[in-house]
This record gives sequence, C-alpha cells and structure tokens, in this order.
Amino acid sequence: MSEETPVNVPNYLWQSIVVTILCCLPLGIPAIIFAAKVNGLVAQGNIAEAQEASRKAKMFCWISLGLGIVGGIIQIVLQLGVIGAAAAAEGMNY
Amino acid sequence: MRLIISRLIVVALIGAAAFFIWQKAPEQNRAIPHCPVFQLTGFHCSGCGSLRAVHSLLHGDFARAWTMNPLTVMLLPLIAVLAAEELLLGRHRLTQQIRPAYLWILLATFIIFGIIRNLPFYPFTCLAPH
Repeated sequence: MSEETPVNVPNYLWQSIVVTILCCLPLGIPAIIFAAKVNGLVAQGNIAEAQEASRKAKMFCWISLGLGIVGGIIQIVLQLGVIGAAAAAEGMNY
Repeated sequence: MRLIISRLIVVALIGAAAFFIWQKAPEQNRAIPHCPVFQLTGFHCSGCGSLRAVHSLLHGDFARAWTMNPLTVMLLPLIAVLAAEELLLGRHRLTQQIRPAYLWILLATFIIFGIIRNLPFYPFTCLAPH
C-alpha cells in the first residue's frame, strides 16, 4: 500500500479560531491548543489520544460559544439598563 | 442525511450572521453587545475589532478592516477554506494536513498579538482597533 489509510479525527481548527476571535478568547485558546494536539497525535499514530484531544477541542469550542452568547446577552441587558437609567434621569430633568 | 442537514443549518447560520453584520455597523448596532472582556479589563484581546473588520470587508473596505484587526483579516481566508471544505465537501483533509508546528506558531501569534496591541506607544498602537 503506497498511501496510508486516512484517519478521520476532526481537529475543529477553524471553529476554534472563530470562537477565539469572536466569542471568548480565554476559552478559545485551549480549543486551539487541543486542535493543534490532534494533528500532532495523528502524525504520531496515537489515534486514541488524538480522539480525546479532538473531543476536548470540540468541548472548548462549545463552551466558548456558549459563554460568548451568554456574556453577550448579559452585556445587552446591562447596556439597556444603562440606557434606560439615562433616559429616566433625563426624563426627570424636564 | 442527518449530517448533511446539520451542515446546511450551519451554512445558513453563517449566511444569516454575515447579513446581520453587513446590514449595520457593529459599533452602531445596539443588538451587538460591547465585548465583556474589553468592558471588564479595558484590554484589546487578539480578537478585538473582528466584527468591525468583517463588516468593513463585507462592504469592500479592506483598508478599514485592516486597521480594525489585521490578524482577523489574515486568518479569514484560512477559516473560509477550512470551513468550506468541511461544510460543502464534508471532509477534513486540509485541516488535518496542517503541520502541528504551524498550529503552535498560530497559537503563539494569537498570544503575542494580544499583548503587543495593548502597548501604549507607536508602532504597537497601530495594532489596536482605531
């Protein structure tokens, strides 16, 4: 066999980059670390550990996305609160 | 079949997100929150300015996108190619062929970029969204 059998272990690299630059940097970084580990482990032929790293990369992507969304919602609520308070304060002046 | 449907859903979500970012400037759009990381720490993380950069790119304004976040602008083609391979072709060949060393360099770039763009003097101030 001239070509080695392709092993399909997703590394979630682009998802990791997207959540890092758009959602939550502190959790996107471990996602990239595990994504990087997947390729190294596959290259070493260590498929079991590669799959474990793949699973963790996926997990960090989801947590980062979730935190990004939750943080965003909290932030919007806070902003609306500030706008509401400012509007109320302005209303009192008249 | 289930996989194809979930891929189509992700493609649709990306399209919807692109339209949402395109139709109004993020800094003027109240539906887009200010970044909690920036609000809490006052630091520009390495992703800061990404939405504004994507908005500018969708309007063809490469120069403004670059001033918002050059790293995002440089990474978008990579993201687009890898996402297209997975979502349209349903395979991961390219992403798995990237040498681990390059991925560690990418990680280091993220961290270093996140630090130096917060330095308060020229030329590093050019790296912060402006």
